[in-house]
This record gives sequence, C-alpha cells and structure tokens, in this order.
Amino acid sequence: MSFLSFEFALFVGLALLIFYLAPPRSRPCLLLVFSYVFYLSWSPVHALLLAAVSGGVYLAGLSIAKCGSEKGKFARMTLGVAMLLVLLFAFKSAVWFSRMFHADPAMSIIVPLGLSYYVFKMVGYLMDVYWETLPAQNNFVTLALYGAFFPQIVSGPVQRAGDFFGQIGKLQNPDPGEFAAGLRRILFGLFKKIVIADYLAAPVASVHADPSRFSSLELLFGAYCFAIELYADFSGITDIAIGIGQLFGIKGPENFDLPYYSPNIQMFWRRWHMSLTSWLTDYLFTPLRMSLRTLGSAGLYLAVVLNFIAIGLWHGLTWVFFFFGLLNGIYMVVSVMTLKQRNRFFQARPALAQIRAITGPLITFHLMVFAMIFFRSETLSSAFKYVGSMVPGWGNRSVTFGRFDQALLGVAFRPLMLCFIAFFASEAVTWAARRQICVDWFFTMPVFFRRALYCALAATVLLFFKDSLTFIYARF
Amino acid sequence: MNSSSPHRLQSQHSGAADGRRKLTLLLVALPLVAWVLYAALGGRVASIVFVKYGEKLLAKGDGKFTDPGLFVRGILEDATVILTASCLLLLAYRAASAVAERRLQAPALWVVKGWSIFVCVNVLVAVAAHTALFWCLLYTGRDDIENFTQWHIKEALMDEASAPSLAVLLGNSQTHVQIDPKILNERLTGKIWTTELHFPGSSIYDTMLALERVRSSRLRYVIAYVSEIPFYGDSDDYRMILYFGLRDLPPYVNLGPGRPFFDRYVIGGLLGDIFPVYQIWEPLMARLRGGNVQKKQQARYDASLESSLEERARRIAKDYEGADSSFQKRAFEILAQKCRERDCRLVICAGQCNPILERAMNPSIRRDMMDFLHEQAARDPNIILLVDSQMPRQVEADYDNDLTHVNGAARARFSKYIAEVLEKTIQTNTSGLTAYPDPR
Repeated sequence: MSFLSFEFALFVGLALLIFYLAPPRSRPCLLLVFSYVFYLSWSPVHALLLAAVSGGVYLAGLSIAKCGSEKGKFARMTLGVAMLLVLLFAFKSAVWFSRMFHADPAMSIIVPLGLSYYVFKMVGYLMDVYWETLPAQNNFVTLALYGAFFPQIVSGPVQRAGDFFGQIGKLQNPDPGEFAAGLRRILFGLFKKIVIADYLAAPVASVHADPSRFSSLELLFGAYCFAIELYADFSGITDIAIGIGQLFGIKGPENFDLPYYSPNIQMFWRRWHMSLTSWLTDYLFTPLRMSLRTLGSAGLYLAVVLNFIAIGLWHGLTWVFFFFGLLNGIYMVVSVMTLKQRNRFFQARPALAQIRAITGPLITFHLMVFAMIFFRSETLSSAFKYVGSMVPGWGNRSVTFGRFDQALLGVAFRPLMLCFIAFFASEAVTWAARRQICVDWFFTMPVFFRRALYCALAATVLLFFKDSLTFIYARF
Repeated sequence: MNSSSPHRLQSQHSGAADGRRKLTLLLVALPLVAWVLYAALGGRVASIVFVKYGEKLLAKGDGKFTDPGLFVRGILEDATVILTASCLLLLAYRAASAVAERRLQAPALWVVKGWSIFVCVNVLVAVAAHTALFWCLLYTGRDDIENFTQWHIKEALMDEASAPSLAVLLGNSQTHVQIDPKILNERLTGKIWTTELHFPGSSIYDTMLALERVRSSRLRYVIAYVSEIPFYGDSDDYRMILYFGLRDLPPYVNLGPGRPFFDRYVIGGLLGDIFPVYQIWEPLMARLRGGNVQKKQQARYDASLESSLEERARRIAKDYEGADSSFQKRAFEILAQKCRERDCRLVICAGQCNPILERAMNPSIRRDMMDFLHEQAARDPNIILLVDSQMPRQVEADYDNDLTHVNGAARARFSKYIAEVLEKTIQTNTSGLTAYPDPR
C-alpha cells in the first residue's frame, strides 16, 4: 500500500473513523492494529520480524532498567543494540551480496520496509534507557506502536522514544487544531511530491540513464533537478507522514529547515534529514568523539568522517553511498578546519560579510548538488562518468557544450517554469510557516479565501497525480 | 450594540435555521419540478432538437445511436435522474451531519462528515454511471479516446436501437480492427443492431466480465474475434480493475488456479465496485487533464517495440511458449454458459494474426486452441465457431506494419463476411462449422 494510492487514502480514512468513534482508552491499541495492518499489506513475514524486534526490545529495556549493576546494564544494552545492528547489517549486506554475485532475482532478498527507521528508533530507546534519560516502557503496546507507527515507518522521521511516549497520553483528547494542521501538512506534502518532485524525476532519470548522450549544460541541469527532486520528494513524504501522525494526535519531529539556504555545510546537515542527523549526533558522533578525544583535533575529524560514512551507508551498503558519506565528511572536516579563519577574515572585512551571506548558501548548495550526483548514481563508475561528461571537452563527445534539448530531457519550458515557481513558492511557505507573525496573518484572512486556497492546491495535486508513484526514501 | 449580544445571536440563529429550512424545501422541490417538466416538455424538447440539430447530432454520435430524438429524450431523463440523486443525497448528507453535530465534537465530527461526503459522492457516481449523460460528459473526443468512457457510452446507448435483436462485438483490439459495426449495421438494418464494445488487451476472462456489464435484455449475439492472444497472451489484467466486482468473486474463486489469486487487480476491481469514484478516476482525470494516459502509454509501448516485425514476432512467440491457458479456457466455458443463460448466440471467429507471427509461433499452440474451441462448439450448439478455412484469409500485406491489427481494406472484407454470417444465422437459425459461406 503506497502512501500515494487510493487504497492508502481509504485505509487512513477508515482508520480515522474507527479511531475517533472507538472508546478513547482503546486508541493506542487501535493505532497498533492499524500499523500492523498497514505493514501486513507489504509483507506478512516482515511484520512478524517487526513484532519480534519489538518484543525483544521491550524485554531488553525492562531488563536494563531492572539490572542493579552498571556492568550488567552495559552488557544488556550492548547486546540489545548489537542484535539490532546485526539485523540491519545482515539485511543490507545480503542485498549487497546478492547484487554482487548477480543472484537470481526471484531469490533476491528484500529489505523489510522501514527497517533502518525502526532499528534506529529501537537502538535510541535502548540507549536512552541505559543512560537513564528515559524510563523503560512498561506498556508493550506503547513500545510496539513506537516501532511500528505506520505514518513514520516508510520514510521516517526518526522520532525519539521520549517524545513519542509523551504524546500517547494525549491520544484520548486529540486537538482539533492539530488535526486541521495535519490536513494542511498532508496537502502541502502531496503538492511538493506530485507537482515538483515527480515532474523533475523524468529529466533526472534521462540524464542518469546515459550521461554520454547529454551536453554539459544538460547534465548540469539534471544535477540541479535531482537536488530539487530529492528535497521535494523527501520533505514531501515527511510532511505527509507528520500530517497523518497529527490526524491521530501524534506529532513527529521536523526533518527539514530550508537546507538549501544554509550558509555552510555544518548548517546544511543541521537542516537536512534533521531527525536522522541529530540521532546520529547523539548516539554515534558524541560517543565516538568522547572515545577519540585523546587524539585531539584528529579525533574530532575522524569522528566526523566516520559519522558521515555511517550516514552514507545507512542508505545502503554500496560504494556510491560510501563515497557520498565520505565526500560529505571531507566537506565537513574542511569546513570545521577553516571556520575560525573564515570568521576572522570576514570580521576584519565587514564589507565582504554581505557577499558572504549570498555566496555561502550558493557554495553550500553547489557542493551538495555535486555530492548528490553520487547519491543518485547506480554505481561509482556511472557517477564518475556523469561528472566526467559534465566537463566540457572530456572524452570524444560530439554533443556541444551548451545544447539544451528539451525533448531529450523530457521537459517542456512552460511546465518546467511552473515547477520551479512551485518549488520557490513551497520554500516561501515553509519559511513563513516558521514565523508566528506570518502564521497569524494567514489565519486572519477570510475563511473563504483560505478554503479556496486549499481547494486550488488539492485540485493541482489531483490534476498532476499519476498512478504508481514511489518515494525515493521509501527504499532505505 | 455588542456583536455577540444574546438578542443578536438569537436572530442570527433563527436566520440560519430559516435558511436551512428553505434549502431543504428547495432540495425536495427541485427534483419534483424537474420530473414534472420532463414529463410535460421532454418529448417536445426532444422533437425540437431533433428537427433543428438531428443531422449534426447523428454525425457527432458516430454511429452510436440512430434516433437523435430518442437520444435527446434519454439524455434529458438522465439529467433528471442525476439531479434527483444529487438533491436526495444532499438531503441525506444534511441529515447525517445534523445527527453527527449533536453527538460528536471535532475532530471526530470532521471525520464523520468527511465520510458522509465520500459515501454520498460514491452513491451519486454509482447512480450517474448508469446513465449515458454521465459518460457523455466524460467523453474526451474522437481523437483522444478513453476506452472505459467509450465503452460505457456505447453500452448505455445500445438499447435505444430499434432493431429487434442486438449484437455486441466483445474482446480485445483485434475484434475492434477486424469488424466494423457500421458495415454490419448497414447490411443488417432492421434485423440486428451491432454495438462494438471491445477493450484493448482483453483476455477471455476480461471478455466474460465485460459481457456481464452489458445490461440489455435484447442482446442476442455476442461476437468475438479470438486468436491465440486472449488465451495465451500475457496481459496485465488492467481490465479487471474496471470490470471485476463483488458479484464476480465467487465464480472467480471457482475458476481455480491460473492467475494470482488476490492481486492488486482483484483488489482494484473490488474497490471500484464498492467505491465507484475509484473506477471512474482515470476517465475523469482524462476529461479534466485532456491528453489521456492510455494513449500516452500506448504510444510509449509502440515506441518500445522492435522495428523488425520478424524480430518482434520471435519475441512474442517465445512468450507464448509454454503459457498456461487453463484459466482462460475455463473462463471461456463460463462465457459460453452466460451467453446460453441470456439466450444469445456466441459467435467466435477463431481468427488469425499476421502470418509472420503465425510462422514464428509454435503450431501446437494454435492446435491446442482450435481443439478446445471445436470441443466447446460440439458440446454447445449455442456457439457458432468460424474457423480459418471459412473466414477471409489475411495475408501479410493486410497488416501493414503490425502483427495483430489489419488495415481498413481487410477490415471491410472481414466485416462483410461477418454480416453474411449473421444474415445466414437469422435465416436458417442453424449452427455448426459448415453452415456459413466460404469467402474464397
């Protein structure tokens, strides 16, 4: 059941009807049932695995909390975390091996839906219990729901256990304002996914299928398109997930904060896939940094690079994701190493500070556009082929540098412009939604105007909607 | 005075209640007035339109109807039905909302209201989908055909024909390109009116499902052009989403193995049956967006085909090798049974494909199909089986650059032959293999 299907809309509608007409006390149980029904629609076997993981983590959490000795707690936490990571690694590496040895597609292993997300959630929970920042969860339903909560299982966000458990109690009295906000959020997410991301998917697929057919300009355009597609796609599904959660009274964490306007790489990673990067910062980078602190700055840089390689490999055990992580690690180390000098330089030259405010986001954006070529490519060699083909005069290519063949790219000028306008409009809305003054102004507008706006957005989404759409991040 | 004073609030409340009462009255009165107007003036309006625009309407109808007056009257009746259903459903929605408002609070209230709207819209679509007007509103034009819309328009209009017997052309695109209903209707005027209700890519099972959706009680002939494709071809079962319904579930289960038991097509069909909005989604979007998806998909598919017909034939023939046709054969038996139950003859043209494809295909596949069809025809006198030796032989040149679809000249030739067959059937009312004219 894809998020973008009639079946899913019907499922959510039915779930909402049952949820709100059922006695308030039964709502957490119902949410768990809905989550498993959703998961069963993907794979009954994997649903069993998810249930087994939830059961194991529940027992491990209680066992950590009840253990009297520090050593015993540590051993139990390590065992629990190690088992979860082995599970994650086993599936991801099995896929890697089957690809490496070209196994029969019928026999190939499929990674359980949302495995990366629920494993990270559960690892975080066990570590929180061990660090005693969170009491062990006594209610199995609550913990199982935390792992399986259906809006978040496909593509996150990675919600912290404490935040999630704290909201379970509020399920008995859902806030109408949150419900309405959820509907708006879903609409906005659908708009980003269907109107922006899906339109740009066609030129991106074309240029990555065979870069040698395209000019440098077309490849550059393809790289920009992918950066926007990925962001619109991922932030779109996050909006939908957060919105659906809000309909049921559970608000997930934010995942994006206008990342493409970040002044530097550090800020970019604080605004991109925020729930994962903050998770990795807390549960991987900080412990790693602490254990490597004896190495001084070298320890810091090593921790940064390892953290980013982990981010890369989280997407899949492939060389392209490894390189994507490594490249971002290098970006980050260089940025950290030069930050003080840069700050000093610009402080001494206030006139240039204005230029920095513009060039900073531009440079950051282009560095990420470059890194995302690796993210999108199937293999490392195809990524380098893409990068090489972008360089004018590279190889024996007959295609002229500045050619821009719309038909070959699968785009048309007017819809493309509309798509870019839609993108900047969506960014403006995201920016405004974070400012209370703008929110207040919007809600002082006549109800008729607001409803007309929602209807126009919904109509646009319906008109652009195509069947069988998938989300890029649903495969991680 | 303060805007929220009790007096003001009371007058606002009574004003709103007054408005609600007026709306209720309007929703009750509107359908009544519409039916009275239809009864009083429907015939006159239809005859005026017939006199003024009859010729234009006939041209626009492209052979889908013969009597513009009757067509206009039918459309007016459809409009009245849709208006009545809309008014009644609005009343039902208002009643449901009033009950919900008394018992529930937001957000539960919004959820219930949302469901009420959804249910009402589905009921409206279910009612409207039985009318020709609804499908005519979704018509995308002659050059941009949406198959499901076309199918329903023709199905809804076929009963308007005055001929004593009705015939339908069912099956895949081969039926469409082989038999021209206009030629049949010209040759059989006053005897049989033929409507072409093919759907591209249909298997035998899809054809059986489509037959079930044909409502006319005057249906006497089901004509299908059947080559190896609907028996052995690997179609994507998309038609099931459009034609499969709850009532088809028990017979489908009884049909046994041969296709995935409970896949997305079956689910889609059931969903479409329960929620008609799901079923009309694609035609509706094609109407709103223009440039329909099926046409684009077909163009993409055509572009992906091998330019060499021999190469294409080899690939297709390879796909047919070892294909399991047991499910489609069992579906054929049900199709024949359904025709018997409806008292209509099943005319099966066991036709050919392009000789290039025939040469590439393993001859045992055709033998297997023909053995099965002969066996069925021998067992069931209701089946009129037309075999290769009786039908006009089609050569490579008849197919232009295609393996399955003939050109216009071959179509005309074949259609004349089918008209002769039907004429002879009416005259002699006999069946069998040798009763029909040999074109050579």
